[in-house]
Amino acid sequence: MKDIIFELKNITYGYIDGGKKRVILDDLNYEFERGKFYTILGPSGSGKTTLLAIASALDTPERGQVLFEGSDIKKLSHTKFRRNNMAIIFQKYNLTDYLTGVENVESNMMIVDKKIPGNQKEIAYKVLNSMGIVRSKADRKVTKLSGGEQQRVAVARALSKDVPLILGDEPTGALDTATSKEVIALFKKLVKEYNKTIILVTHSDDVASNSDISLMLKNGKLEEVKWD
Amino acid sequence: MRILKHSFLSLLRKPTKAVMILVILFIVFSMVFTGVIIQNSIAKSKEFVRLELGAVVEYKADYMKAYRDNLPEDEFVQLELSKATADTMASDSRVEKVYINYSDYLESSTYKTVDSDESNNGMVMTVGFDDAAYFNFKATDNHLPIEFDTSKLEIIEGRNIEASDDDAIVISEEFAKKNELALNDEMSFKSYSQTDELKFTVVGIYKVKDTNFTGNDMYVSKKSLSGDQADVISSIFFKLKDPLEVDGFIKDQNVNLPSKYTVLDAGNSEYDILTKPLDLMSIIASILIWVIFIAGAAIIVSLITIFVRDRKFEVGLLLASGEARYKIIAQFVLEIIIVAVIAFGCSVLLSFQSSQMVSEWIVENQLMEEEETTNDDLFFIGGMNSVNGDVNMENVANDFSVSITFDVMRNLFIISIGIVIIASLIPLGIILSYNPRQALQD
Repeated sequence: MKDIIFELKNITYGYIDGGKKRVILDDLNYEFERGKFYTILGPSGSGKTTLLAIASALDTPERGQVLFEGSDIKKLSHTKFRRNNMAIIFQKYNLTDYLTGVENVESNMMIVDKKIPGNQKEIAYKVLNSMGIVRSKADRKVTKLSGGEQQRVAVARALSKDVPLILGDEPTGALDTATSKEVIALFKKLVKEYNKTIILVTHSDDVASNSDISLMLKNGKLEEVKWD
Repeated sequence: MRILKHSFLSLLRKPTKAVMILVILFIVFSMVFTGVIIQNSIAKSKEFVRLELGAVVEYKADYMKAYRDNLPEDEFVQLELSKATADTMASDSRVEKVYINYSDYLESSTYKTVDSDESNNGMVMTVGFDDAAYFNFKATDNHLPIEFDTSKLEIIEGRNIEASDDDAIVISEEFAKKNELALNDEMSFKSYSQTDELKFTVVGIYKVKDTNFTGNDMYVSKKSLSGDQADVISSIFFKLKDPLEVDGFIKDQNVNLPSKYTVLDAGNSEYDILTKPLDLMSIIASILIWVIFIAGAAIIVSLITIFVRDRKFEVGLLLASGEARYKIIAQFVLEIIIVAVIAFGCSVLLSFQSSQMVSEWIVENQLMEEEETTNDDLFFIGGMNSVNGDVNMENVANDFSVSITFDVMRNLFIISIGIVIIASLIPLGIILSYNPRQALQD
């Protein structure tokens, strides 16, 4: 029996463009299993980022439900869902510019209701270190870090929250090949060893081929992709 | 903890806009506070005038009005003071004592009057026929005469008049010296109509402590006044418990006045003249406060709106991380409050300095220049009762100083912080009404 952690149910989303209604997500349904690594592919403008925004409760669908562990996230409260049940990695790092790397990570850890036991700052340093950000760099303001380093801080920030669901919008887009591979390896480790569910939106076939299940967003619906 | 930490870090590491807000708040607060401090000082100064004038209200006939209105002689009854009215007013809880006074002019060719110098009113004595002089005999119901209660006169030998006295008299030290009179000496006067011979025994000698008194006044008991004047009230004074209640008492009791030719007076004309320049400054300060307050509030709201809107992305990021909206509000409001508190503190310090300068200017250019004119005015208005305190523009100028009470300071603080909180909540409310995705979009 499948252990469903996350479910998109009859999701419909569209917008008015030039007086015409354009449907991006059309009665979309999908069930995500716990402990699996998913990637979502699709051409530009297909609605991948919108789908991720709805999945992470950053936006709300016109119709349909997002279920987390069988409960509608609307009933759980979108804010609490974002705080305690998921973490998101953005395409453009989205770090707080007046904070250092470690402060960005620590800040995210401070928001969750159930904090990881121990010294929060030391934990933040450890997570950053696992992403290749040494202490001296972690103590720099994020604006003083390179794009790749900022993205690693962004990934570390997501990983620092001990949540079962991690969503990412092109999280390796700004990383060099070597770091990108390290991050993907880390994601796979989180899935295998810590039973996390990871859903990434990507353009990269390489990233997609490393995932357990690849999905293609086409005509407002998700279809599984079989890799040969 | 996060809120506190991020508030401080944001201010320290991105200080440009915070400094801009600080400067604007400082300027606006300083100007408003200066105005408020001056207004407060003016209010205190007016209070000083009222305190100096004392807590005595006179119920008296308005002869000037009667003269201006050409009041016919047969209607002079309207100028009479009513004991019933006095009793009604005396039941007011603010009244400590009521003095109902009677007076009569008695004649003597034996006694010499005390010469009055030019500064004295000198209205108490009139020279009559055959070099005889008329002396003003004063009596008060129940209490000591008010002149003694208000320390205008002071008993230095013997005792004061008592209601039960039959032929006792209290005379001035100067009068006693001039006429070689001492305690227990007998004195005799003729009534105004020359029909009665009234004999008195000196039981007390008083010292004049106020230049409004000549020393020619004789104090006796009511029952020893000659019969025809004994029931005509010459003046009624109310001594209130608190000088600051004078205005309220007059306002409330005016309705009880029996005719438009009687008034309640507590040195009102003097008070009005003395406080006229203060009122003018108060109006100017008030206009200044409101203009700066409204313009300043508009500038502060605009600047804080820019400050908050500039951080829309950060708000989106916090929302995306699951931070509660009230905590985001708390963080931003705290930042603004920290800036506002610093600006408030600096403004208060500057305001004391600037209002000191303005108050010196008020004293030098407004109060002292007014002094001469005011004294002339006071001379011409007349009618000032003799038992009110002495105060002139020089006293007011000397007393005028910058002062502010804790209550005013607290109110200013609440208003200032209130404005910046509202100014922060408006743009924050708009941003927080977006979903996180919208807030994250540049």
